[in-house]
Parts: sequence; C-alpha cells; structure tokens
Amino acid sequence: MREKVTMIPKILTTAQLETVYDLLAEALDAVPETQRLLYLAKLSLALANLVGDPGKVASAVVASQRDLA
Amino acid sequence: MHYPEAQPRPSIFYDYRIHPFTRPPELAGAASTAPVVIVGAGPIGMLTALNLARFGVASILLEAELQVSNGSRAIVLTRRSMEILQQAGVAAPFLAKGLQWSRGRSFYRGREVYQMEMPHDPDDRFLPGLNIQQQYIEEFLVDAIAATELVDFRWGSIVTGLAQDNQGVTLRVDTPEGEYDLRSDWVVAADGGRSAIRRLMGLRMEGRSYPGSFVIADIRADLGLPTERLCFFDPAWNPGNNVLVHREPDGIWRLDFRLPDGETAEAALDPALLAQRIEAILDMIGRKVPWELDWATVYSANTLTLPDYVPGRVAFVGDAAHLLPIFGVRGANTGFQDADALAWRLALVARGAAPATLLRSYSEERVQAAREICDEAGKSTRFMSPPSTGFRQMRDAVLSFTLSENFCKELLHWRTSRAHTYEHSALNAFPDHDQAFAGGMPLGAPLRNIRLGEDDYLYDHLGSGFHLLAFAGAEGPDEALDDTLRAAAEAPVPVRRILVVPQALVGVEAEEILVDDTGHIARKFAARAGAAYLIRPDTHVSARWPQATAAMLREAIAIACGHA
Repeated sequence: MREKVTMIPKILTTAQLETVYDLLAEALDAVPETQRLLYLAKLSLALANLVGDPGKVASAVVASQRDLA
Repeated sequence: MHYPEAQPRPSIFYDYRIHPFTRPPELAGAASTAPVVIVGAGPIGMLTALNLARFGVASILLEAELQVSNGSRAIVLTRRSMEILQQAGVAAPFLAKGLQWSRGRSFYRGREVYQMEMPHDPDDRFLPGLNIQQQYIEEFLVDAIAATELVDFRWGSIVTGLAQDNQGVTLRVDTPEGEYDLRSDWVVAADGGRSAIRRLMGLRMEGRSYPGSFVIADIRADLGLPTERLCFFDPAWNPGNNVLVHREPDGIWRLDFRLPDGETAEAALDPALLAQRIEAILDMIGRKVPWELDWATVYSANTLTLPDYVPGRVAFVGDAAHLLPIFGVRGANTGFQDADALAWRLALVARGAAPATLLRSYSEERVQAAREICDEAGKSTRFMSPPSTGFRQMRDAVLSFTLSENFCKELLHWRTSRAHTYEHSALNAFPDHDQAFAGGMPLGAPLRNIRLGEDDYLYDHLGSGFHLLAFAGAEGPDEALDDTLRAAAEAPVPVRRILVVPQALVGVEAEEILVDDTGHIARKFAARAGAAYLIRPDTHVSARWPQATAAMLREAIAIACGHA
C-alpha cells in the first residue's frame, strides 16, 4: 500500500505546463550531458529565488524525490 | 620528566625568546592552595590571567613550552577582540604592530565576483579586522603579565594528572626538574584544541567534524597588495577548491588552500609539492615574485563544543572548550570572549563576593554562543568546504551564477565572528524596563562604543568592574538618579559611575562625567534624563531603566552577581 502524500497544488494551466515542459526539455537537450547536473542545480536555485517562499521550495524538493526508481 | 624544546623555534621573521623554567616552591615540598590555576598560556589563558589580575585575583599560569606559539596560527583579531584587549589594558602594541582592514574580495574564473565590505560605524574605534601573528599576540600578553604582580607564570610545566573534590582541584605537574602536586580552588582549562585537561576528565565534545583538509603556509614575499582578505574559488591549479590570502605584518603573507580530496597532510607538506603550489598561487594572483617559507601546517574544520564549560571546579575556555571553523575567524576571537566572560565571574567567586553558581551563567552564555557559532559557521564551512557531492553541486551553482547574477552573491561571504548578545542570560534583570526603550542596547548586548571626539571613545573611559551609565538633564541628576548614583557607590562590588550630562555641571559625584552637548550619546542609548544602564565587567548590558531607582539598581547588581 502506498503511503498517503500531500500533493503540491496545480497552479499552472495545462497549456502553460505544456509550454514549460517543452522549454525545459529543449534547455536540457541544449546543455552538454556533463554540465546537466550543474545546470539543474542553477535552475533550482533561480526558481527558488523567484518563488520567494522557502516552504514551497521544500515541498517541491520533497515532491520531486518521490518515485525516482 | 618533561623536557620542552629548549632551542628557539626557527622563523624567518620572528625571534623566539626562551623563557627558562624556574623551580616553584612546591618542588621543595611546599604545600599551598592557589585561588586559581590556569593551564595553558596561549592567548586565551594569558588574557584570563591578565583579567583576573585586573580584578585583584592571583593565579598560577602553567605552560608546557618555554616559548610562544609555533607559527602565526590565529592571525585575525576582530573589533570585539580589540575592545576586549583595550579593556585589559593591552591594546596599544597590537595597534602599533597589527594591520587593520575591512574589505574582502572574492574571485572566480579570474574575475572579481564579490566585494565584502565589513560594517564599520564612525562610532567604532577599531576597524573590523586586525591582522597580527599569534607570536606577537602572545608576546604582548607575556609582557603585560610580567608587569603585574599577581600572575605566577610557570614555563615548561605540563599537567599530567587531575583530581577534583568539592573543595578544589589537585593537578599533577611535570617539569624539567621533576613532578609536583598543585592544589587550587579553581582551574581554568585553556590548553587548546588537544586539551590535556579535557582528556584527563574524559569529556567529549558534541557536534561534527568536516571532511577536507586545508594547508596554511606563511611566506615572506613582496606582493605589494593592500590589507584585504582575498579569496579565489575554483582556481585552475586546484579545481573545485579555494585559496585565501591574508596580509600579515613583517612582509608575511598567509596562503590558505583546501587540499584535493584524499590527500594526506604528510603529502601536502612535502616541500617540493608545497613549493609548487605556492608558485601556482603567486602565478594566480599575478605576482610571480621571490618568496621564502616561514611555516606551514594542515587543519580541518570542526563545529564541536563541550556541552558544559564548568564541570565542577574546572572552567573551560577557548579551543579547550570548543573547536570552531576558521571561516569567520572564530577561534581566538571566540576564545577572547570566553576569557572576558569568565574572568570577572571567577574573580568574584574566588574572592567570595559571589556564589559559585555564578559560574553556571558563564557556561550557559558561552555554550549558547558556541552553538550559535557552530550553526552559523557550519553554513560557511559547507560552502567553503563542501562535505558531499550535493553541497559541492550547489556551491558550484552559486559560483556559476556570480558571473552573471547578483541574487546569491551574499553566500560568498561567511559571517564574521562578532560579540554575542546574551539575551537569555540569567544575569539579566528587569526585562519589562528593557522593553520600554525605543532603541539603544538591549539586555545582554555588548556595550556599544561611541565616538566622543578626536581619538576619544566611550571604551577609553571604562575601568574594571561594573559600570553604571547614567543620564541626567541640564539641571543634573534628579532625586531618584542621585539616589541611584549613591547606591552604585555603596554597592558590595565595585561599580564605576559614568554620568552623561548635556552640559558641564559642578558638584556632581561620579567617577566620570561625559558632556554630551550634541545629544549623540543619549541618542545611541535611547536614553532620556533619569535613564541608566548597568554594564557588567565584560561590557554587556545586564539591566537598564528609563527611570532608574536605587532599589532596582541594588537588585540588578545582586542578580548580576548570581545572588538571585
């Protein structure tokens, strides 16, 4: 049985998500593989700063950790 | 038998002096009880001895070696340390020899990405940092101690045993001429990071140690750079690691760099490899000049503290009490604050003017300070010396951003050692009156320095003991303030009265009268006529009242002396 999780809220519209999805995918492709981890770390830090709420960042950190394998 | 090195240590800039061992009376069978024995004559032990003497208490100071510090070690004194040294009456040679500074520059990929300007207020006498080698710090303290009658300085004397009971402590002391027992009411453990006292008592420190080792190397070279702290991240010759450069007196430069993971201290100090890296650093800063090595060593970062600094009749200070990271100049500067916080209390207790429980507040305040430092400096350490892949990745993300963005640049500045505010101290009194002030210095805060005129500051007017800083109006003290001033003079412990008045007055009794014709002092203390601050001997505020009374002052003094 799966443990009950608190999901992060859906804020972007589906159309907006689709746009961001493509943007992120293309950006990841544009970065050489050896720099991808650094790129994602920078992206996370920049987004955290723009979100402006450490609590929301923490919930995104936890949400993204689930089901990696 | 203890045989300390009897030859002066080699150095290209410092002439070591051998202080000979002299036979103490205990070796001839004399048995006496000293009020205080201090173990370790590093900067912190010596400052403790000097401050105890200032408060009229004699001590025996045991030092295993016959000469001062091996190498320059702690090279940066903070403004607070200078204020503490000024209170101890020894600031002058430090100012004459040291190099004061307030700015740091950080470089990444050959570009200056961050400038750190440490705060400096016109009311401060001292700049935020003063660079001076530990040999000089110790020499100046040795000289100051030699000028007092109250310190029995015993060189070449190492502690090998300790037993304590309810009445005191018996130390076993080994010397070049044999062993003896030394009995004292109190022991101060100032014997450094590898404290023998800590080991003999079986005490364990709490916290964590960080992976990664750093080399510090002192070289003499003509770099022609100003006194600033330089930091180079991720240089080409040492990828992923960082290099710090500090100027020292006598044309000496401190180079400090992190070793590649897995490299041993032994390998790093190999002369050929060290020389190659020094060359790489000089090349990196664009100064390929001749150089000569004075001293090099390896260190690592820890955030460790004992949970209690006064187990029984032994009081721990400095590195014997805690091991703190170098980032933010935490070592000696934290130790100076320990010594400053302990000495007045131990003096009152040793003289029987305060209950032994007063020392509890020393432990509480300073353990709390050490824990805050571990927390703050831990953050800096995790940036400067990433303990894992994740921390390294995030550090690299921040460094990468510094080339094009500003939002995360502040992470390049590690917080610098500062005076702690003992806001939860058991010695603070009348918190409701404290709350009534709109500004000034709150309970537990360090007394702020105030510029009074050309080369004239508030700290220059302080003596030893408690201070009552009282504020009167143009007509002089009213009846309540007059009573308060009299109560200060009649207190069971010495309280120096500093009366601040808007214009010159005659016929007022106080040890110091400061004419505050511009109202600057009153503004800084948020004080109106009738207000008063009670300042502890370590220049922290323990009570303040918008309208002081004699009864409240008496109660606050009793609380500050541990009688509550």
